[in-house]
Amino acid sequence: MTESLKILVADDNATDRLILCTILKKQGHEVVQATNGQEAVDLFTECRPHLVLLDAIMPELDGFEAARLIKCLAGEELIPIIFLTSLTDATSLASCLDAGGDDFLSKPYNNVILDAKIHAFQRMRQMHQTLQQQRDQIAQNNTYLLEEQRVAKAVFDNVAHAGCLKATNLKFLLSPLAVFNGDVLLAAYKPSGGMHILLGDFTGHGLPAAIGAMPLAEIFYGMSAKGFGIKDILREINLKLKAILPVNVFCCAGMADINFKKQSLTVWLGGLPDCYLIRTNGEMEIFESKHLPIGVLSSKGFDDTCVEVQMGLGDRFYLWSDGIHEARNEEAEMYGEERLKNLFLNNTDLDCLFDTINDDVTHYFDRVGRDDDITMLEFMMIDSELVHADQIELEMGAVSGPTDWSMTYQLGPATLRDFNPLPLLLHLLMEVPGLRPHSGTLYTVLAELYSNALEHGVMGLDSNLKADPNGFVEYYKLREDGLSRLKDGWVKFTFEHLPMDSGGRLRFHVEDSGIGFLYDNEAISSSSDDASLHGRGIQLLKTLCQKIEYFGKGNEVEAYFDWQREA
Amino acid sequence: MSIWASASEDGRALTINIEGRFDFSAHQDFRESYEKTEQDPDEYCVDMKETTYLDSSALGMLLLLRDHAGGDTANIKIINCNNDVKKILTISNFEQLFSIN
Amino acid sequence: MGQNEHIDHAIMIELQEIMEDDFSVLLETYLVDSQAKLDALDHAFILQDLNKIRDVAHGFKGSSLNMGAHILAGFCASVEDLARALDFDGARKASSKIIEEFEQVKIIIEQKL
Repeated sequence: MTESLKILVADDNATDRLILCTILKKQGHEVVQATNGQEAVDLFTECRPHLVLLDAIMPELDGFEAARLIKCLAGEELIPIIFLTSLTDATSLASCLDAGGDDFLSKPYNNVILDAKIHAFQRMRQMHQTLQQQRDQIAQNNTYLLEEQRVAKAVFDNVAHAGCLKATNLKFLLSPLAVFNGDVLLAAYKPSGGMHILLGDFTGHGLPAAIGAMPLAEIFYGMSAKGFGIKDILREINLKLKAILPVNVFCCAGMADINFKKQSLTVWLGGLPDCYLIRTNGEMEIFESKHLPIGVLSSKGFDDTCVEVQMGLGDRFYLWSDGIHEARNEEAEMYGEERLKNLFLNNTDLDCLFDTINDDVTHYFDRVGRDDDITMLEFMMIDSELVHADQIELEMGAVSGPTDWSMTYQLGPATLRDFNPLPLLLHLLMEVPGLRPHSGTLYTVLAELYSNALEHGVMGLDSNLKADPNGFVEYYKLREDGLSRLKDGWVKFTFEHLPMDSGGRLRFHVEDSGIGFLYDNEAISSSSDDASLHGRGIQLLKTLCQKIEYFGKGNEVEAYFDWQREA
Repeated sequence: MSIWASASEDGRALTINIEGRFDFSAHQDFRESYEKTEQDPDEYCVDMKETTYLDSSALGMLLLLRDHAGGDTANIKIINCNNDVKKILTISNFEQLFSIN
Repeated sequence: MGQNEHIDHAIMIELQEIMEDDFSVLLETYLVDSQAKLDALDHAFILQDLNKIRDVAHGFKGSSLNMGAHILAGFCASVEDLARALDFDGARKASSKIIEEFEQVKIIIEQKL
């Protein structure tokens, strides 16, 4: 059954009006009557009916004009208008529709048809209302969403595009496809005066892509400020992204470590398109991605191998995401790598190269939508003297960590049996900002010194055993057995750190409870290969440390590790 | 874009064919192609003979397949790549995870 | 069926069902309304107002259709068309048919009252 509607009937014919109103009332509707067009318009404003039945030809204001005015007054609301007519010629019927009529009802009236039409328009009206409510809901949600995104973007921009991107030797282009860009561009001064830059392109766009950027940026800036090296930072980012991102989301990235003093560039590329280095004489070098993107492999499989190159003053290095290659023009052709490469080959003024690329790419897809985010970074090698002054302050700030201290740490048998002291010791050393870039080296030094003291000193294992493959297995079996039964013995670490003019010196002193061995400090300091050194990793320690010297009966060793500020 | 999979007679190998652009719109179909098999195959083959293009979300989908097929122990071949497709796989160094020819 | 009668019987029955107790009110309304239209038509011919002739004939046609007076409605339509074609003399001639036919219709309706 039809819900009761308020219906306006406008007809100057008393007979017709009487019939129609009687039918409508019997169907349960509320009827408002008008005898001419003007009255109809006035009553519409006053009563706001749901449906209007309108005679076409009336005195004062005819049905056509009344329909136009009523549609106007109705605004967004759907008020169906049905023309009551005995007109039969096509032109007249068409002008009913032109005036905003939705249907006709012919005379003589038929109550079954009338009822069916009212039903149909009632459905249409309800659908229209639902649509409008949903539209308003969507519009409101969209407003909220945009506002939320605006706020989130402000936070994101502070995190993801911060650092020293405004440094005079950097130029960059970031064009977000969505409110959020799936691309990350980071740059930070190192406490030692160098610079780290990172360009990342997360799978997808918008919010899902932006989420991974937050921890990435935090690790990048946090570890760079603490002086960690490129490999440590990459490993940490990979570990974090692998842990938090779904399997199908990862980050194609390129990271570079710049040493202004040595004028060197160390690059790691995973999943990014080829990157270029162009020298002031126009020579070009191409860097290929040798690695999987970040967040794909576990720590074990992650390869942190970097490429190091010397740069001259004014040489430039370019990083970009694949958005630049995949930019499409109106014919849906991709911009392509060749076109980009040609810009480099044909360039005559390095100062303009970045803008030339920017203009060319922008012009290419001028009037069409982009497929991907386009992000590009130019780095120019400058003299270390020109590295901005605010960065020097940062350096001074960071160097003020613990610089003059010493400590002794002795491990007894139970501890030697069950505990690996190396991470703890390394962590302690990492409190010195100047040592952080050398974490890998220091770990190796600690590991060698500790295994010598424990295995050859405390446990008295013979390093000669390791000379052949069978002995090697035997050696580690003996080590395992000996360690599990260890009842006596100790290893004592003494570390001392002293500030020096342009850096610092770390002194390691390691003593064990063993009987020592016959050593020859002269042989150690010279390059000759003495049999007594065999298997004790001393050759390796020699290359990593400034000095290595044995004392007493050979159960005490001392090594120096000197570090210098880079710029 | 259309994706269909066919298992070998003994059900131990599954070949997934991808026609047209392999991008985010293929997400559902691609997953279904390997999740709906009656028995878990020992090896997978992704045939890209008819694949015209792939984007980074497609690379992500390949990683999902790899995860499904056992992660580091997965045995997945990607075959018949055209140059464009091969280039994208190469830039991302996916040959370290999949056997690509 | 009914097209050749002065009043379509089937329509009358239908209207009776719809109007129930008000059926006689409808019949009276039609008679009064029609008389008013005939007067208006007469007045319009005196003034030679073709637009007015057309509109009154059109309205009369509509109410006559609703009452099942098909023949009367047909004469109204002729007048309406002639007036629209600006044929004043033709319209006047045709209007005499309206008056004659209405007399027949009126007799039938008055019988029903």
